[in-house]
Amino acid sequence: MCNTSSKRSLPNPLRMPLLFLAGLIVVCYCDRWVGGTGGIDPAQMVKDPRGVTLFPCEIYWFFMKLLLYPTLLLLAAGLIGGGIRSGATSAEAGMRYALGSVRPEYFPGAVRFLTACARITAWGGVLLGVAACGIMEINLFLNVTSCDRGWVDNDLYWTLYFWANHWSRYAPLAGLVLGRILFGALAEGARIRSGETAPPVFSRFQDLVILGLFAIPWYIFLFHTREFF
Amino acid sequence: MQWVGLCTRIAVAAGLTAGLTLAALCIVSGATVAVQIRMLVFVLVTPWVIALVVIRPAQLASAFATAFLGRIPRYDPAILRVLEFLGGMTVTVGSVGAFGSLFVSFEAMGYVEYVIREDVPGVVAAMIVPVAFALIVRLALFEPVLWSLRRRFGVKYVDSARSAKIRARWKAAAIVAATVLVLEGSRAFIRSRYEEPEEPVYDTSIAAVAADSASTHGQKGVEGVKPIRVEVIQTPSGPECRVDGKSLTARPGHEDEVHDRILWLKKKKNRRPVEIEIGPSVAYQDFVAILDACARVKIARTKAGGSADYWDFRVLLRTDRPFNLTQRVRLVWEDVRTRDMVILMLPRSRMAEPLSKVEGW
Repeated sequence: MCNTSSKRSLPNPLRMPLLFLAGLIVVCYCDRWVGGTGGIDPAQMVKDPRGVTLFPCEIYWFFMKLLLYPTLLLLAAGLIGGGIRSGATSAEAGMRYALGSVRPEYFPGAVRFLTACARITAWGGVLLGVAACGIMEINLFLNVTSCDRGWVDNDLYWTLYFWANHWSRYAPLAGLVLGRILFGALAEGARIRSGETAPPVFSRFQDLVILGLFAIPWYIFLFHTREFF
Repeated sequence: MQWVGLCTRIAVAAGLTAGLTLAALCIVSGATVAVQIRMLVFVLVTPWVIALVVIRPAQLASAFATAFLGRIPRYDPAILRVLEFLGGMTVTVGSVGAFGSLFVSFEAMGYVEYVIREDVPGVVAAMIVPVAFALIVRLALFEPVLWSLRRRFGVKYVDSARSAKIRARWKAAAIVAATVLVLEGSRAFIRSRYEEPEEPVYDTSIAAVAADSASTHGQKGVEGVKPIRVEVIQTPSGPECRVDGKSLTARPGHEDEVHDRILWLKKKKNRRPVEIEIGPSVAYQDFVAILDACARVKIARTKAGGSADYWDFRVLLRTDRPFNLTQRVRLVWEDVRTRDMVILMLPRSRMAEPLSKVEGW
């Protein structure tokens, strides 16, 4: 069943990466479309003293740039770690599968490789976020407890302040998008196509744990800005 | 009869969806209905779109018929797997949707002139609602179908899902969640009755970015006035401060030169406000030195009977590092206070407010 249907339905080796990219675009743009602001009206863009309306691309790029670094790190960690964990043959099969060669002989290797990649990136992302959150808290603690501005005047404080603050939120997001959505979807697809009945890549429990770890930096963030929120 | 059965199932599915929407509306009432409906559509549709990328359409159609129309296949574990995948993906896209709300909120905060306190429940709701919808959809739509399929397809799935190990994990997760809720709830309860509200903490660099952006762009009343431009840049020989093009040293201890120059421009040229632009790689101490000089100018003007104009003093920050405005305001204010000086007026920004608290600090 898998032989005929896969050969017939996926003749183009570019189909999978194109669909892969389309899925990513759908997620990103739906995410933008969905992201409501509640009571704030985004149409109230301010005008500068010359009367020119300002657009939020500057801040948007700022956020995207911050998202790029953990994404690249997790992508590299996932591919390398997945390759080490599953072996070179599986890694090759997985890459071929991900790039569109949906042949039945690739399925077992692809499942192993993509599952390892998905788990490493998803768990790596949320754990990285929690670790960054811990660093941020320690940094703030030193700031609060230091007398006479000793720690505040330190450039290290601001460096940690900036990166830990952002990595605590953007690393989990990168882990979710890369691990749970992209690698996870590919691994699940390979499993389902191959007829394998093993448990899914992420169980319900793991899903909720990932969600919980994802929520910790958010909770901390809201905790520190509770006066505003 | 078949049509009657089909129509009944569709009606049940529609009713369930409407019920989910209403339940979510009750849970988080801060967001507008349009935002909530968009998010519900997002968590309902996006997992199916992602599944379409990796799963054959025929299997997906069977899974759809199973979940929404009640057409249970005789024995096809693949359908079960597809539905498990969709259920997990629903939670994931809900989390990503929450981040989408965060992005849009910060953009709006950064560029909308006033973010008032009344806006805040909507912002929080917009972040919470996609996750809430995702959990509702998963627990109410997917889980009953999954349990039904597991029972029908044999003991293998039921056993794997009900093993003691899994039960123990769920118990541990429930205990942790309950502990957090109890601690947080009791703390909020005690604080609300017996403690004074804590001093606000604005310490997030994102908040600083939003505040800086708001103070940079969200200003009024400066049309037609040429500001005094103070640029602080890093040069090979050290930090340099340019006041309207005139180069001055920006090291600590040389603030007086900057102060005198600014004061001269204000008095002789009637120029305002002061715009400070910090270049990349400028050290924190140099920035504070300039800020301090500007503060002293402000103080001198106020003592001389000048107007307390909010926009007399603003900061343009172009730097890779997060110059948290509020933090620096407090440090400079501490300097001012220890010298028995008067009120320091700073750029108006809801994120950097309340200035009244800074004054009394």
